[in-house]
Amino acid sequence: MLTCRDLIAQADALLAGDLSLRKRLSIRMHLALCHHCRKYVAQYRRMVGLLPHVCDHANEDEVAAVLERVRQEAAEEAKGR
Amino acid sequence: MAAKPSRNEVPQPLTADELAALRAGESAAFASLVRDHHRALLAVARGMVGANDAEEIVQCAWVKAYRSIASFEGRAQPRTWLTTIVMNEARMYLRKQAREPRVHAENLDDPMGERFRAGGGWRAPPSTWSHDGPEELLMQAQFGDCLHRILEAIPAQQRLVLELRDMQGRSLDTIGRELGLSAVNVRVLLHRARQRLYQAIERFEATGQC
Repeated sequence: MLTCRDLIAQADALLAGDLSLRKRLSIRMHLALCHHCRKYVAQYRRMVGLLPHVCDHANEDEVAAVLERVRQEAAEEAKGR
Repeated sequence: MAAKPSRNEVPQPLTADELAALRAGESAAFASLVRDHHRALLAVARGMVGANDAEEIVQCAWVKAYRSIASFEGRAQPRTWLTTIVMNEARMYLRKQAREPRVHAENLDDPMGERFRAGGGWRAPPSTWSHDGPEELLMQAQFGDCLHRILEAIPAQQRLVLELRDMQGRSLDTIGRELGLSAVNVRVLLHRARQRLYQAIERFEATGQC
């Protein structure tokens, strides 16, 4: 019998559609009976769907440091020619 | 001058004009590329070489990207292209240092372990997120800032796999090949990262605290 802990461990494979028919059926039966796991899987799915939309932009100091390094390297390269 | 993006605004695919500006060497276009992708690239480098060397790896990768920008045809997403440069740079650096890639999936703790009873049932069941989903949360600056702190706190190798799989959409097989990991280990790292993130979102939902 699949436990809640077992089910959570297989949440990624469930989302990716990587499970055998037998395992899928076992998970579906569990989800039909367990509202905690239903809630977890639904919220987990939404969280994973969110991740491609997360973006952390560099601040202006970070951008300036990269541009300065690129400028320095270009200057060195020009000197070496 | 174009308005700067807000911290959580997702970079859009390059338009033909933006690509042309990049390939022509316009510094504003290159600065925009840096702004959009630098922190994600740091996360990749940290997972491969560790925090101390990551900044240097990414700086070197930017120099290489700048030198070869004229040949970037825009077929791949810029982040995919840049990540490949960072990963090559990290591998070269590790070879020079005669170091093995640091990525492994041994001895990982289980972030959800304490939430289950010995028999496998829930001890601390999931709470209901108050919003329709984290999409609404992401629109809130406070949550966006919190999410970035959460992502930074995820162990570097788990964060690396999360970046490659969930944020860039690479397949598990590709990630395994690129990092020299078995498919099982990639799955374990990804699962742990997602569980940590889930727990942190749940904590924010319940307490408003990051």
